Amino acid sequence: ATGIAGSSRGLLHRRMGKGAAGRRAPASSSDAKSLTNVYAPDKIAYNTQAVEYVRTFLSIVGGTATGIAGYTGLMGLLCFFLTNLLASMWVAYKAGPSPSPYFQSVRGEVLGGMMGGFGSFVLFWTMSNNFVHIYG
Amino acid sequence: RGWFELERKGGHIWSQAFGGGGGSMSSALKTKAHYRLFIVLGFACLAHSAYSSIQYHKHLRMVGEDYTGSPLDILFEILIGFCLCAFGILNTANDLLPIKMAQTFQNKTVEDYLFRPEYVTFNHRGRVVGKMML
Repeated sequence: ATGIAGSSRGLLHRRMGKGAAGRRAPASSSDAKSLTNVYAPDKIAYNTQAVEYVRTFLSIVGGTATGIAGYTGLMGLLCFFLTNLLASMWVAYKAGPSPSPYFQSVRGEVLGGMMGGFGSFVLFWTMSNNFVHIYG
Repeated sequence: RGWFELERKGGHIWSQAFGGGGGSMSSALKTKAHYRLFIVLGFACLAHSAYSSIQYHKHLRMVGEDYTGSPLDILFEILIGFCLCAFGILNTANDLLPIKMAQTFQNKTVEDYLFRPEYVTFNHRGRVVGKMML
């Protein structure tokens, strides 16, 4: 049909045709690729918190054990490095091989948190050493 | 057949030790909360060794000797306590989550996006019908 009705119908058809084609989401591979390097920050924080829990708790337990055993000075520092090594080995085991789905850089997590539990270790080491050997 | 098959089946040595120990035993250690018992036992061992160490110091004071290192059994008990605690800690830690958004989005279904618990209402006819049925 011609005239205004015809043109409006034609417009309607045209809009519906274009709109349907435009609004349909293109399932192309480029869209899937754009999401592969997006990291979820809440999951990164969750993983960091889990690693920190293990490292701090192991440092506390290792600190009390070192204090009870009576190790002072370099022997105690060696015990600290052993407990941190245990925590790092667990992290490396859980993370898996290098492009890990759990961490942005496995080496950063394993080696970077080495001094993380130092404060807790020294605190509980001093406390248990004093309680058992000096004031006990 | 025997424990060789168990070694090949279970990858991790903990599942091998506890999964092959018995049916009821393996189901008892499936949840994470049961590993807290190991932390408690480890702390009990450490506390016991601390008490033994204090008694050893008292003994040395009575005898009049100097302290040169703890006796071996106390050191062994400290090591046992630390190992028990470490086992409990490493197993009660949270599982790690994949951090790439694509990996979590690929496993989501339509129901995950349509579920809005804040908009769920309970003031409908089911409330009255339930009362009538009772």
